[in-house]
Amino acid sequence: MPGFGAAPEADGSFSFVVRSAEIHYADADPVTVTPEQLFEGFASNQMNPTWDRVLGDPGDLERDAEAMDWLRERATALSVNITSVPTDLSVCWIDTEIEIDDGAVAPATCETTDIKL
Amino acid sequence: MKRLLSGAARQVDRVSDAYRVNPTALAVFRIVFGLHALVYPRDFTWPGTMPQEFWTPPLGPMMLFDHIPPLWVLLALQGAVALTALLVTAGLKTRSASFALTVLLIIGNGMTYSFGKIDHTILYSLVPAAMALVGWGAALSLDGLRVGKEAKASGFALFAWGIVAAFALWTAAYPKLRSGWLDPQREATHGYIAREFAREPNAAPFTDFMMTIDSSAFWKLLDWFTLFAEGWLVVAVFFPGLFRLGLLLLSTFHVGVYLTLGIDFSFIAFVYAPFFLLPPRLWFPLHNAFSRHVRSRRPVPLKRRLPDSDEARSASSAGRATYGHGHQSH
Repeated sequence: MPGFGAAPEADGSFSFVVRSAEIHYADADPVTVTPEQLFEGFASNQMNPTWDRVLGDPGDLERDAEAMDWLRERATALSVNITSVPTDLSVCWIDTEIEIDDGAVAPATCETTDIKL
Repeated sequence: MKRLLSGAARQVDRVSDAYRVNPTALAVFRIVFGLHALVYPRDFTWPGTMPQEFWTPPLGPMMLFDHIPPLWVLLALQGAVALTALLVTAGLKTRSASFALTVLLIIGNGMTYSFGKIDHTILYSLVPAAMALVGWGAALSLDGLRVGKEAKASGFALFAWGIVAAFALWTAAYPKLRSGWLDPQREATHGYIAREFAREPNAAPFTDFMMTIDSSAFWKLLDWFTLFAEGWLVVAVFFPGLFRLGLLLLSTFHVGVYLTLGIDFSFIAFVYAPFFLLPPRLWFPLHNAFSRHVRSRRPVPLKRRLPDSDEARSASSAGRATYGHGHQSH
């Protein structure tokens, strides 16, 4: 049985982190990807922790050449029907709250890390 | 003190006896488990294709590996899991193969947990070693054919396995107790279902339906039921009947978690199933008691009750052979 975590607040608000990333190109519209897409092949429970650790603030982790090669490869694989080469990965964390009565997500800004591919 | 200890030992014997399972049913369980490990193996090879930078083993034996092992090592590990699962299925060198399978599953899981999160599949990995101690290799096995001994299962080993499982479930209940699940004002289950709904409304078959339930009492009772279902087993394990009932309750809960949150805990069936492999006579205790009662009241034919001897014939003619006597002699 999963341990889950803390209960929501008594006022019905519950913290919620939304993760996504945009792959940018020199001459094409960006493509939005989820952790499930970027980390395809991972065990599902390892995706979010790896996302946070590997794509977070560069101060936390020096991405080496092998990691960068892997990210470039994944970005290219996810660029379906796009001929140009991915240039940047813009990683976004929305640290927000939901209302548990209706599941509505409160508006919040995206905290971004840009990674040059 | 000596009397106290011997009393406790008798009590343990009594509980262990109530946990004793049918060796043939246990052997069928062994075969099903072995086939499951063979046909639906957990993938331990994916870490081999990941950059070394992603590797972050948790505190424990995995820290001995300062790099992700090469893919060929992980493939060999996967092959060894398959081989030991095959031996377990066939019941050849069952005890050694079962312990080896547990060790290999733990190592494999350790590899996949070295990317930031430890999962809760340890009980599944421990099943082979625990069941080897219970005696799952005694029947329907190549070992059994070679040795030719009567198959027996250890009730005490299963009792011990029950304590391990109950404690593991308690470790899921305890953090909930400490983080607001008991608080009447905070609806924890509602929160997690709402979060899943916000992420993807149709993530599980009943996620959106559950969000239509607008009853604080319902949601709070669900929280308390969760805490109870996970927590009370550490006590119930000392009462085998209650423990089985608790596992059944918890199974409905796992189904509910799957239907509302999409979390698949089906592997836990392998942890719970051994407790239900009872000898047939224990499955229907009321029916058995009733049958015994009926048998005890059924008149027994006179010629079957008495031995065929002159003495018996004279007893019969003297009218001393009653139904009661007949019953007692049988």
